[in-house]
Amino acid sequence: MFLRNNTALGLTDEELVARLRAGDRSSLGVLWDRYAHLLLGVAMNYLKDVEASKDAVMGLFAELPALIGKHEVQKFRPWVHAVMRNRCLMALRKANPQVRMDPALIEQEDQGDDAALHEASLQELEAAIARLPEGQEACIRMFYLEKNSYKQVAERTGYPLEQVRSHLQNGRRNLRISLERHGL
Amino acid sequence: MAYSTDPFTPRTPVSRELLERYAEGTLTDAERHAVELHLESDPLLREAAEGLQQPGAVAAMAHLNTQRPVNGPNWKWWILPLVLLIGGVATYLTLQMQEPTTTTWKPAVSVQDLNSAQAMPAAVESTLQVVHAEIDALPVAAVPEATQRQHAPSVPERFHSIASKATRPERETIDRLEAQPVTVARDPGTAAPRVAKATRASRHLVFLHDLKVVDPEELYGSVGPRLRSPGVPANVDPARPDVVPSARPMQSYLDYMDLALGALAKGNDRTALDDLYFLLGQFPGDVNAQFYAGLACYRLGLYPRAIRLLHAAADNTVDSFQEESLWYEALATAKHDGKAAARPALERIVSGGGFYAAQAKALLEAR
Repeated sequence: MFLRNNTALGLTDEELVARLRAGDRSSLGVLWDRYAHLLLGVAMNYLKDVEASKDAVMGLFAELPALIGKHEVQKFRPWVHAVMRNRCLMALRKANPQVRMDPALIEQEDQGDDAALHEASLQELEAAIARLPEGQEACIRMFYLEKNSYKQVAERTGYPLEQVRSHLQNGRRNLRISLERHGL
Repeated sequence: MAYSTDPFTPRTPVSRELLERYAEGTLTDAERHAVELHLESDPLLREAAEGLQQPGAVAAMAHLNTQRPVNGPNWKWWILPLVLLIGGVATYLTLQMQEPTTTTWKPAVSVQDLNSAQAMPAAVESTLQVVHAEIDALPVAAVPEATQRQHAPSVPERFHSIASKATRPERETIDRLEAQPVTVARDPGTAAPRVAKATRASRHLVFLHDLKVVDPEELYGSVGPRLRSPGVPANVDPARPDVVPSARPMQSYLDYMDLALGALAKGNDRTALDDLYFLLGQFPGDVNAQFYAGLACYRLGLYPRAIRLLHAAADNTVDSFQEESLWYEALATAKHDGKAAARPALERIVSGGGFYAAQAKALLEAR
């Protein structure tokens, strides 16, 4: 395709990656629009420094065409997240080799398949929620079924905000496992 | 039975503005819940939302947006060309003032030796004029027949209108023979099977009139060549139109392509073709000129020429036009030699799985 494609906005990330790999620089701008602010947030989470985080994002995008050329990228979103996270960790270690990483920062994401959650019937879901530990059950019920925000759940349960989030993540994982064990 | 109101699936997307307001804490409870529903299922968004709540992060988002890569070359890419341009101008002025007897700059492309006459001191230029006069005096038979056949179309018609048709084409042909051999003309029917080349992902492109062009820096390793203007210089003596000064107007590669592709974009295929042939006369391996000249020929119904040019573009070591060249080569072949002759090219496009694959497959299946 030798004409500039102005419909890149409607393409998926993977289609944009394919076009970027073929040399279409305009795809880089669309990926920037979708991800630069998210990756800035990721970098801020690790580096805690605005300038270093901006540099990390710009550095990643400057090298993105070459990186995409070298690596097989099946799903761009988790891939670029992992790349940014690794770069931040490397920057932290370079700045201070003795620094001990916060386990929460290097924790591997739960990459389980949520199909069981989305396909469960109301009765199956209710039964699975009832089988969860007390804190997880309360947080899951208030957040997912009663549509409360983290803050509202924290206020209602008396748990600290971080514990609410922890209960939600663990509860969601346990819920999925429970539904899968019971036939979904 | 699926749960009809799946509570785990977010209903609305998280825009950048919504995320910004979430980080600033200015959302309603319902809006916060909508964003947090995304956070629970999206690790990237979760980490981003946490990071954007750090002091200064939201302001940095706005500043970061000013660094967005442009569709064409980023401004950073122009620093080196700009420095080289300034250096070139300074060198030119210095040479004009000092009149040195030798040139120290050796261009990457040999044809630029001819063009550099414009920047040469008067003594060297007068020598060139003598050489040109000798070349003009050469009999036409001194030019190899094959070279005449290959080069003759590359002289733009607008040049013929001023210069004497009896003398100017041969003069131009001899200039180009010294510059580079032409490799465009080739019979695709007898050519060896093409060897698949590895695609280079980082080829830098620019867009002129929404038409992609491989950055001349990629082709020539510098800011790109200076090209002679295809027009007749304003200082031609009307009484002697056959005498053209050796120091002709020069243009940068992208300025030149901008004019040629501007004509093509407006449908002035003949003008575009003249300009692109003129460029190919100086740089026969230029993939941009090969492809767009082939396209112009195709649109003008000059199918054999289109096939030759597009075949050369598809086989060019710079493979940025490979698929589109194959596509138009297949179309030109179908028009000129029949649909069956285009089948191999169409099959190759389908196997490549690129932009034209679906159209090529449809054409194959329609037969």
